Amino acid sequence: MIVALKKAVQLFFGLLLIQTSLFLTPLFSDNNPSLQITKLSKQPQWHRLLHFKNGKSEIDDTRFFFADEGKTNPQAELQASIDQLIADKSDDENSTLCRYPSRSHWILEQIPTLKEKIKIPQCKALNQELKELGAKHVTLILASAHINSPASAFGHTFLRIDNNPNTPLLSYAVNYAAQTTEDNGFVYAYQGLFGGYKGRYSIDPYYKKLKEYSDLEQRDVWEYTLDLTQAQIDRMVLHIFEIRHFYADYFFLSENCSYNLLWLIEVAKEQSILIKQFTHKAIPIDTLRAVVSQGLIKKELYRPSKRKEILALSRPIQNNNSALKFAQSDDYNLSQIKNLTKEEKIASLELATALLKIKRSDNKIDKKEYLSKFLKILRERSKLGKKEKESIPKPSSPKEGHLSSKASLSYMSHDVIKARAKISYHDIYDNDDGYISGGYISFFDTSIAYREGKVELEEIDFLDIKSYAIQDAIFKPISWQVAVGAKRIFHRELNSYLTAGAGVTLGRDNLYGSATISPTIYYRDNEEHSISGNIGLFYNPSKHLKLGVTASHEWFEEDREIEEIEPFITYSINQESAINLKYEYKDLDGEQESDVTLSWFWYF
Amino acid sequence: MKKLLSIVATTALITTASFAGPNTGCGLGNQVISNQDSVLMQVFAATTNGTSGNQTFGITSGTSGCAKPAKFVSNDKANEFVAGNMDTLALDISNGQGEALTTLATLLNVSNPETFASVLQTNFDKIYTSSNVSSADVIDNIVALG
Repeated sequence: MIVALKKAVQLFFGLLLIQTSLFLTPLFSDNNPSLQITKLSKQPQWHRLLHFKNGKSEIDDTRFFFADEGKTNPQAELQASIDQLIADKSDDENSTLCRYPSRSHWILEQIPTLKEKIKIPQCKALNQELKELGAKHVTLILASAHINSPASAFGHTFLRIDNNPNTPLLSYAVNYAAQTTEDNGFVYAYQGLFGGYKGRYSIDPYYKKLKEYSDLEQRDVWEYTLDLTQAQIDRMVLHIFEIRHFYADYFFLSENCSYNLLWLIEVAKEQSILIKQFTHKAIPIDTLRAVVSQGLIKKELYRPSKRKEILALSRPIQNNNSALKFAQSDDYNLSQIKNLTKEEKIASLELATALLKIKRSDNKIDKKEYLSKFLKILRERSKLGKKEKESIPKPSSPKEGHLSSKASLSYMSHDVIKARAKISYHDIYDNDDGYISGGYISFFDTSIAYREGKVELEEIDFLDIKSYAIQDAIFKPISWQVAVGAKRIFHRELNSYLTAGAGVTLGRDNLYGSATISPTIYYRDNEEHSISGNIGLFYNPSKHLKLGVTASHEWFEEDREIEEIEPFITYSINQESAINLKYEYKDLDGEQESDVTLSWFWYF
Repeated sequence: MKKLLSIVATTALITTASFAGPNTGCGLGNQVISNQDSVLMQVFAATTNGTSGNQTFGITSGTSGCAKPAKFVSNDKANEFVAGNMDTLALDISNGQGEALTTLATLLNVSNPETFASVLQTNFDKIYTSSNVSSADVIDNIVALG
């Protein structure tokens, strides 16, 4: 009886509630609109359109939200968006529908009857832009390393929107970046790490982007055509056209350029799970792999860097002194090459143009001089007909390298067990396949050791970069290294240290040797200084094998020295695991010791 | 030693990156001059995956701001493309091949791109008459060959 009464009361109130809301918002033919809004606002796609993750939207621009609590309340935001669409009777570019085309489109798709309640504006400018873009294909682009700084190996990703895949120079690049003109490294890093910059999406002609990032031409570029339907591409484009007006705080490690592209892809392909794969860090190649893992890649294309093209150009004349001399000269005296074969002339002239362009972009010659020389060489070249381009071997794909975080467990002779972990990225023991040869970065690398019943912190490297840039016939980059952290020297307490060095690397992509000199400051109770000479030889014959040997001699003040030799071999089983065996010999100011270490590497 | 390190650190700090804005022009030689980043900037850029710059939304439909060619006015997209890719196009034409040249052939609806490339190559002198040649001149000169 009581139960029945309760039910009747509930029903009554329920009906009353429905009636009230119908009265307040008489919008839909649906029997229960507020329930419908509640349901709709829970749809994952609505959350994606708001960049909603972990209870709030990642968009920090308040103008993005119509509801006061829109950042944290998707339901309120949906209701407010609908109200706004109905209330807005304007018919210009700033009307709600033209300015928020992505959510408007979705809302109208979900509630078709709403179309009768709102004034549909023309959105002329928007339509003009959509037409100009003519989006038919979307390509994810990964630009890997910079020529003289392999340490920029984290790379950069952006999207390219193509109308015709055969003419990418007419396509548009969609980029997400922090807005800053800061040139002080410390301020830049601090602001960037802690959200001090505003991140925004932009669209620019692809060729303009190539010019703007002139270094991009010095990078290997990988293009991945996404497997999307026309409807999905349209959805992505509309979303770009909405989100372009608003900013989100930019975080270098997590909410960065690569990560924010994932929102666009996920909005396009609703079933994909991308954003959830990233919590604390999003490294470009990891985001690429995430996209791969969702089966979103249709085609891979490799574009060699300008540097590799230039090396290929020089190949036919590498033993021809006068041809090389001409290409690297200042006055381009054509009599120098008049006795060469046609092939050699072509190679020499094409190489000359490429090097001249680099001189100009490095500001080593002025525009007037550049132009007269440029045209002089091109005129000569135009008389010689066409020549097949030299082939450039495709390196292993970035999507096939080891994953970028690493933990390792080691057993050392003398019954020592070591555990080590780092956030990222690539160190000398890792297989180079899919990464830039000689570009080593370790970020927040921590190691603890268990010996004689005690667990001790062995070492922390906050940052350790070794940029072993290989010199070749044309380019002579300087290798450099920096590291900052804390480690034990001479078996003592932890010393914080800072080291920076420079040197030379010779060889080729899979076999190279480096020599560097690096001064170091140690600090515990007082400061101590050293200078170290280091050499290394690395060989990466396959995706499974890497061998190397490093040796160093470090001189401290007060005539103390450390000598170290360390050969190693790493066998990579797959992208997630590898076995490493190394032998270490140390001479700590006359006291010798040696260790054999067997490690299991786990990449994640 | 200490001195050396402090010199390294100061140099890194004071070698500031000079921002060269995108160079827009209608002639040859509008290459962007690259930033001379300090080592410190490089280190941070490497570790933080940062890119910076002024964000724009540059979808245009054929208004490059350059003079329009006299004989060939109907193809805004081609005009804009040539204006934006003067150096690369000159290079491709002299080589008789290349992506910028293929793109131009597509934009001009050329029926035989191979012949197009070879005719342009042979007539390089007539297209690039001087270093002051403008993008409008280049298009006019190319059309004149046809």
